[in-house]
Amino acid sequence: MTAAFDPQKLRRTATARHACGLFAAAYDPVSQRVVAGGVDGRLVAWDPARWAEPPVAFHWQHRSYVYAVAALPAQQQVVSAGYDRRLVWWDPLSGSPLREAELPARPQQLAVAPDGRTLAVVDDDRTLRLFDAATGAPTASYADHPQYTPKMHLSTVYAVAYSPDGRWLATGDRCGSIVVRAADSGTVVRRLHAPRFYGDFSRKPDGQPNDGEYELGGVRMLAFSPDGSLVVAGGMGDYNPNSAGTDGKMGLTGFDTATGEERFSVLLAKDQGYLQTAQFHASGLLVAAGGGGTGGDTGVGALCVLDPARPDAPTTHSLEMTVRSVLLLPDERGAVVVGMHKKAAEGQLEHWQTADAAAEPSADAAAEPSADG
Amino acid sequence: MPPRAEVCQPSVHGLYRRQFLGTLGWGLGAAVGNLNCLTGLCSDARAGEVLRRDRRAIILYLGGGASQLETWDPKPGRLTGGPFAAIPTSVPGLHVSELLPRLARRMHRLAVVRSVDNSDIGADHHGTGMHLGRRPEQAVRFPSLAEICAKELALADTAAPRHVELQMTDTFRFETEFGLSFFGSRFSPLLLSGGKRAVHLDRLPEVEELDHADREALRSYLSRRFEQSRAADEAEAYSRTHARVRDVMSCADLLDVERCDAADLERYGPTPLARHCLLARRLIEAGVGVVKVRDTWWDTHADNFEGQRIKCANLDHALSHLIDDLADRGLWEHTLLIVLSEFGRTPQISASLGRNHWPKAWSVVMGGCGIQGGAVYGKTNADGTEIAEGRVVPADLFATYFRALQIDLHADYYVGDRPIPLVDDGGRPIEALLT
Repeated sequence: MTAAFDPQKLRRTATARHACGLFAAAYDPVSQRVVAGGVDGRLVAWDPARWAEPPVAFHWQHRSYVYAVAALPAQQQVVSAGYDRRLVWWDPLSGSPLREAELPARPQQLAVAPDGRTLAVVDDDRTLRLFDAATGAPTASYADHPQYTPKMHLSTVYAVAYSPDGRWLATGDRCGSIVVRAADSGTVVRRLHAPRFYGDFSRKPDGQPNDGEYELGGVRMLAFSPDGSLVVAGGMGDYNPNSAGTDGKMGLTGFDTATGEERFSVLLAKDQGYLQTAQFHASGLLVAAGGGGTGGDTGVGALCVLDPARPDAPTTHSLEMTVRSVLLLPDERGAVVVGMHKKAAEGQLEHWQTADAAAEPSADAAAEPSADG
Repeated sequence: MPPRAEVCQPSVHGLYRRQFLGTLGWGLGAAVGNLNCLTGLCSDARAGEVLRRDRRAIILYLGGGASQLETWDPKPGRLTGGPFAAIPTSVPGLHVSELLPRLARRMHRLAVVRSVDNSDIGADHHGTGMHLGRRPEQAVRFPSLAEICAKELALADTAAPRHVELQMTDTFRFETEFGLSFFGSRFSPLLLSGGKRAVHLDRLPEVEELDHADREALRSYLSRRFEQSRAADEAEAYSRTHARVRDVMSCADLLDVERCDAADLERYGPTPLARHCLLARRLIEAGVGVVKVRDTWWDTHADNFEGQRIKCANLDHALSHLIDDLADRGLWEHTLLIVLSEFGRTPQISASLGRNHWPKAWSVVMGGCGIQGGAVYGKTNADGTEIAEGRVVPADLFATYFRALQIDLHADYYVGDRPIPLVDDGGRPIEALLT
C-alpha cells in the first residue's frame, strides 16, 4: 500500500552505502533497480525494496568517473556517460555493455527525449550533442553558448532537460544562461538568464569595484514542469566572495517557458552548495537536491520540495551527504538521493518516503556489490 | 615609513605618480642606507658579469595551490586520482594530466620536481616559504626569490624596470603582509594589476611636453646645485629616483599589453593569465630582469575538478604560447621559467569534491636556462600521499634556481653583522635537473 506523495511527511526510510562516491543515478523500469555510477567508473544497481541486499555490479567499462546515467525504457536499456568521453549502452538485466559511442569532450549531463528516440548530451566543450538512442549514432550538435565567461574563463554547459511533451530542449551554462530550443528542429526559441547563478564578484564586500579574476557558478540543473509551462534552473547564489569553495546558497529560478518571464527565484537559506538535481512529481511539485558546499569536508546537502505556485515556502530536509542525483520512484514509492557520504569517500543512497508508506524501520545497509551482472 | 601597499594600490588598478615617486625616493634612500651593511650590491664588476650572463627569470605563481594530481603528477585509476586521465608527453615515459594537452607536447622543454615538501615552513607560511626559500622570521625580512633575481640579474643602464609583477586585483600578496625586505624597495616590483595599463604613468594631459621638459630641467639644475654643496647619498638617490621614474614613464607603452602585436593578442586570447604571459614575454624581451606572473584562485576546497579543469585550460594555453615564443625568439636559453604554487592539494577528495592544502608531496616545474628539459626528479607513492623518493625542500629549489641562473648560491648578504645566505642552510641544487 502506498501513500500519496506528501513533502511534509517525507522521512528517510533507508540508507545504503557504497565503496566509492556516486555521481549519477536513474531508475530503470526494466530491472526495477536504481542504477548508479561514480568514482570507480562502474555501474551498480540496487533494488529499492531491498536496500540491505548487496547491489548488482555491472561489468567494468568506464575508465573514469561516471557523470550521468539514464534509463532507455523504449530500448529496455540503460546508458551511462563517463569522464572518459564515452557513452555506454547496457543491458540492465545482465549488466553487460551493448555498444558505446565516443564523445569529443567530457560529458556533464544527459537527457532522454520522452519518446525515447534521442539522447541529448552536454559537455565541457559547451556543446549540445544529440544521438540516436537506439544506435548511438550522432544526429546533431549545437554550440550556442558563449566560449568565455565574463571573467574570460572557458565556460561550460552543465545542464540539459527535455520538456515532458518532447517539444523543448533546454541547456544551461556556467554564466547562468539558458537556451531553449525546439527539440525537433533545433531552432533556438528563447534565451533566458538566471544571473544569480553566476558570481563574478564585480564588487568587493566594501562596494569597491573588483576586476579580479574570481568567479563561480553555473546553471547545474534544469527541469520542465509536467505541463511544460515552466522551466526551472538550479544552481548557487548569494556567494561569499571571500570563499575559496562553493560557499553560497542553493537556489532555484523558474521561468515561464512560453514568455521567458521569470516566475520566481528562491534561495534555500540554510543550505550551501550547488543545487544539482531535480525532478518534477506528477502533482507539479518539484523535488530538488544538492549541496555539499562550504569547502573542506563539510559535505552537508539538502532535499527540497517546492511548490512552484508557492515558491517562497519550500520544504527542506538536511542530508549528511553531498547530493549529485535525485530520482522519483514510480507508484509513489518516494525519492532516492544519491551522492557522497559527508565524512568519508563513500557513496551514499538515501530513500525518502512519505510517513504512511514508511512504516517499516530504517534499513541502513553498507553492502559490497555482488558479482558482475 | 610608508606601508608597502603604497607602491601600488590594487584596488584602483593604477600607479599614482606622486605615490610612486615618493615611495621610490624613500625606497631608494632606504636601499642606499642599506648599502652600508649589505655586501655585493651591484659593483661595476658584478654588473659586467650580469651583462655577460644575460639571464632572466619568469616566475609563474599559481596562487591558491594548483593540484599536482590534475597537473604534473597524475594518479589515474586510483581513488585519489580524480576523474582525469594521464596522457603521454613529448618525453617518453613521462605522463601529465589530460588537462594539459598542449604542455604535454612541450614537456621536453620543462623539468618536473614531483617531490616538493614545504610542510616544515609552518602552516601559515607555506606560500611565503616558497617565495623566500626559508621559514620567515620576525626579526629579519628576507628578500623574495624575485627580489634576489632582480638584484642579481638586472641589466645595467636600461630604462626597463628590473622587476615587474603582473597580478590579479584579487591576489593575496604576502609582501603586503610582511612589509619590505632588507633590500628596501629598490628591488621591489613594479606592480601592474588586473591585466590593465598603468594609466597613471602617463604625463598629465594638461602638462605640455615642453612644460614637462622645462620642469625636469629646473629640477635637475636645482638638484645639481644641491649635490655640489652637499655630497649626500640621499641627494644622489633623489636624482636617481627621478631618472628611474623618467625611465619607467618612457616604458609606459612597454607595460601596456594592448600595445602588443594584434596577432599575438589574438593568439594568446583574452584570459587575464594569457595576457599576463604575453606581457611577460614582452618585458623579458625588453630587458626586464624578472617578471612574476601571479595567477589566482587555484584554491579549490570544493568542486575541485571543475575548478582545476577551468584553470588548467587557461594555464595550458597561455604557458604553451609563452614557452613557444621564448624559444622562437632565442630567449629560452636565457630565461629561467618557474611554475609553482604555495602548496599542492590533498590526494584525499573531500565530500564536497574538494582538495585541501597539501604541502607534503607536490610538484614544481621549471625550464629554460640551465635546466635539463624533460627531466623528472622525485617520486610520490601510488596514491600521491607520500614522497617515495627525492624529497625536495624550498631551499633545494632556491639552490637549483640560482645555479641555473648562474647566481652564486654560496654568497651571503649581510644585515648588520649577520650573514644571510642566499640559500638557506642545507639547500642543495638538484643536479639531475641542471644542464
